Formats: sequence, C-alpha cells, structure tokens
Amino acid sequence: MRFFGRLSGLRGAALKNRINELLDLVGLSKARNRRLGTYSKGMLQRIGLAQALIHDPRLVVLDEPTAGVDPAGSRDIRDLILDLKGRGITVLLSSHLLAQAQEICDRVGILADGVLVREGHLQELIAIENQTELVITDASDELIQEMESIIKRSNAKLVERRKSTTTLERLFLEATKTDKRMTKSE
Amino acid sequence: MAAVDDSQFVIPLSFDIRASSFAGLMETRYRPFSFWRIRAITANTLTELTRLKVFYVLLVFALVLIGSSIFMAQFSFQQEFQILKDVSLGAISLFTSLLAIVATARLLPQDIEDRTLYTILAKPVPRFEYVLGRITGVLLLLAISTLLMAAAFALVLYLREQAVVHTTLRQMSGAPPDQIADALRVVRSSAFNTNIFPGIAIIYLKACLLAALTLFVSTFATSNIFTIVVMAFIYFIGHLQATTREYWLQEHGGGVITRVFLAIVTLLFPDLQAFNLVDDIVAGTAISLVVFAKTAVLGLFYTTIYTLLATFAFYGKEL
Repeated sequence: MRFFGRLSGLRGAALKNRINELLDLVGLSKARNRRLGTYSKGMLQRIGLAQALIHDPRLVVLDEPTAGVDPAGSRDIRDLILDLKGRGITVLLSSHLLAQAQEICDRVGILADGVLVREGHLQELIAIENQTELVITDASDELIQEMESIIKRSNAKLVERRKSTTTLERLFLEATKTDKRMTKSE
Repeated sequence: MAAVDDSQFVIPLSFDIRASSFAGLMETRYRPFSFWRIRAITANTLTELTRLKVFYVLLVFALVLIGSSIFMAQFSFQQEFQILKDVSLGAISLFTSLLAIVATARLLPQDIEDRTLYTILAKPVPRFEYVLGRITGVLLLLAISTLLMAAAFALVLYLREQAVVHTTLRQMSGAPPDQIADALRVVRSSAFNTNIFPGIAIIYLKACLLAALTLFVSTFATSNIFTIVVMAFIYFIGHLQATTREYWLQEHGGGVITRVFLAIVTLLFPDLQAFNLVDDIVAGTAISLVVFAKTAVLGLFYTTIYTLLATFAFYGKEL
C-alpha cells in the first residue's frame, strides 16, 4: 500500500492516513500486519482494490473481481463496489458472472467477438415490454383466484404463477451465518 | 491466476485492477517526471532483491572464497599478496558479474508473471521511470555487495599484512632500525597499493554495464533462463570483442562474410576486456588516472546506452 501510494505522489502523514482509511474501507485493518501469503483469495482481492483506490481515482476498472472467491468474500467485494458507487466513483466492471453484474450495474454493455452488441441502462435492456410482474405478500387463495378470473375475462394472459424465491447466494449466506451463530453458542 | 508469493513486497494481484489516470489526485499532483516515484521503485527493487536467496548464496560464496585466501600456502610474502589479490579481485569480479546478470534477468519476467507490472503501470508511472527505478535498484544492490566483498578483501589483506609484519619484526629483531623500516615499507607496499580501489570501482562499473545489458535483453526475452543464457554468450564474446575489433579494423582481413561477422561482433557487443584491470593491479603496475577515467567513462557510456535501449524496447513491448 505504501509503495503504490508513493507511486501516486502521496507521502508522509497523508499517505499514512490514506492507508488507514482504505484498510478500514476494505475491512482489513486487523490483518494489516499479516503477510500477504496468509491472505485468503477474497482478502487479496480486497487489498488489491484498496491499492487501486490509493490515489482517490474517479474511475476504477475491475476485471473479474470475484473470480475464485467464495460466496461470502464475493458478497464483501460486491458491497465494496456498491460503496464506491455511493462515493461517486465510476466503476467499470468486466465479468462473466451475469447475475452479479445484474445485481450491481446501472448500465451494461454486451461484447460478442469484440463487438459491442448491446449497451444501455440495465432495467431498460432486460425489461419485457408486454409483461408485468406483481409481487404480493399475504395474499389469500380467494384473492388469487379472483385476480386470475379477472385476467381470464380480459384480453390478457397469465403466463406463470409461482411462489417467490430467494437466490441460492442469499440462501448460502443465510445458512452459513446461522451455522456460525450455532457453533459459537455451543 | 497468479500464485501468491509472500516474498514479494508489492501486492500480487490475481485480477487486473486498474485505477484510471484521470484521477482527481493526479490533476494536481501528476508530474511527467518524478524523482520520488523512481525512488519508490528503486527501494522496492532493492527490497525484493535482498530477499532473494541467490543473493546471499553468491555473496557468502564470494566472501568464503576471499576469506579462504588467507590460508594460502606460504610463499614469499610478495607472491602471497599477489595470489591473495588475484583470487580476491577475481572473485569480486566474477560474483558481481554473476549477480548483475542473475538479479536483473528475473526482474521483468517476474513482474509480468505476478502481474505487479500492470499494477505499477496503472499508476501514473511512465515506462521510463519503471526502467530507471528497476536498474537503479540493481545498481544499488551491486554497490552494496561490491562494498561488502571489498571490505572482506581489505580485512583479509590487512590481517595477512600484519602477520607478515610481525614475522619480519621477529626475524629482524637484532637488525638496525633503518633496515627494519625499509623491510616494513616493502611489506606494506606489496600488500596495499592505491590501484586496488580504482580497480574495484572498474569491476563495479563492469557489473553495472552487464546489469543494463541484461535488462535490455530481458525486454524482448521470453524467460529469465533465456536472458541468462544469452548473457552468458555475450559475456564470453565481450571478452573477445577487442580481438575481433582489431581484425575488423585491419584493411586486409578476410572475406566479406568474415568482415560482416567481425563488424557485427565489434559493434553489437561491449568490450569487456577493457574492464579487466585485475592483472595490472596484481602485477603492481600503476593504473594511470587517464586509463581509469577512460575505462570509467566507457563503463558509464555502455550502461547509459543499454539503459536507453532497454527503455525504448520496453516502450515498444506489448503488455
């Protein structure tokens, strides 16, 4: 961190403060004196992100930032990227993990054989114009049947009726969190 | 994905993470040339190199060789001092040259392999600053190791001189004081002479030249082994360059192919034999200031030229 800070023109107290600030940001303050060789993959990605931010850039380009990282580490990096976004930093993310890109990005571009084949706001690109989704909580069977009969009477067509689901990632994070809590209490 | 090498001071990244050069900080702080950036790369290079086991292996080997010359067979003290200087200066020359090649050959390939190069160049660091920082780091390492070896050599020489002085005093205990003083003067002039230090400086400059040339070769080499092999050839050809130059400059020498070959060797390879002043030092021949200055300028000239060539080649390298 010190080396990359010096390369960016930082010195003395300003460099020290910036390092402390970034280690806090990426959640590695407690691991600051550990050797990099003992870092997990996710920690390495986060320290890499910290060194890239040392000179307070307006634009950060990330290529597969969560490749090879476990779901919890991946979530940490995702949160960091969203944090950068909140701070007004533009993040250009290149990824094959489309679900993750969908979760993070405001605008997307799709490259095929080196050609930009789609580009624009994510919600506009993935919206299906002639379909609408309603997510209802605590709906009774009668209410659902009534809604279906209204749909039947109109020109519209009910394409699919299903229970809302969580994502596998959220399930994993929830399960491992619960598991850790139980292990601790034992 | 790059493996994590915990011996590295810099952070190895397993993904490209590049901060834009349009950063807010740099709007106010960016300079096309920065001494501080070069100093940071130099310090980083020195740290990396001093963590290399090969550095200590070579240094210990050289120090052991220099130290072992204290146990040379007992000839006349003049011969003993000559052998001691010959072995020690030879060892310093060989090990600084080896260190220059081995240490420099790995720098660029290693930086590319662990992707450190990309993270450095993603910062506001022009490529020439990277090359300058790296070569300065190597030259500092060579200076440190040359000083250590020179100190060991001076210590061994001093110890042997003291031993000979004591023996002479014991043997001449009944002799008149002026005879004793003459004998001691002969012993001291045989051990230390002012040629030793310029000689060591020239050995250092030769190592600097080899380091700069190795860096140049490594900019287009595919691996550090390839660089080392090429440098081994250059090292041997460089010692024959003076001979090929003489043949090339002779009007009547050989056919066209031979002359082209001689011209290539003469123009492309450095004259390493010009840096071989050890024989003069051992023989006690005085190295004139003119010879020293010419050789030093030649060394600095070669080092500068090869560093410039390395910089140009590095600018053209696709990363």
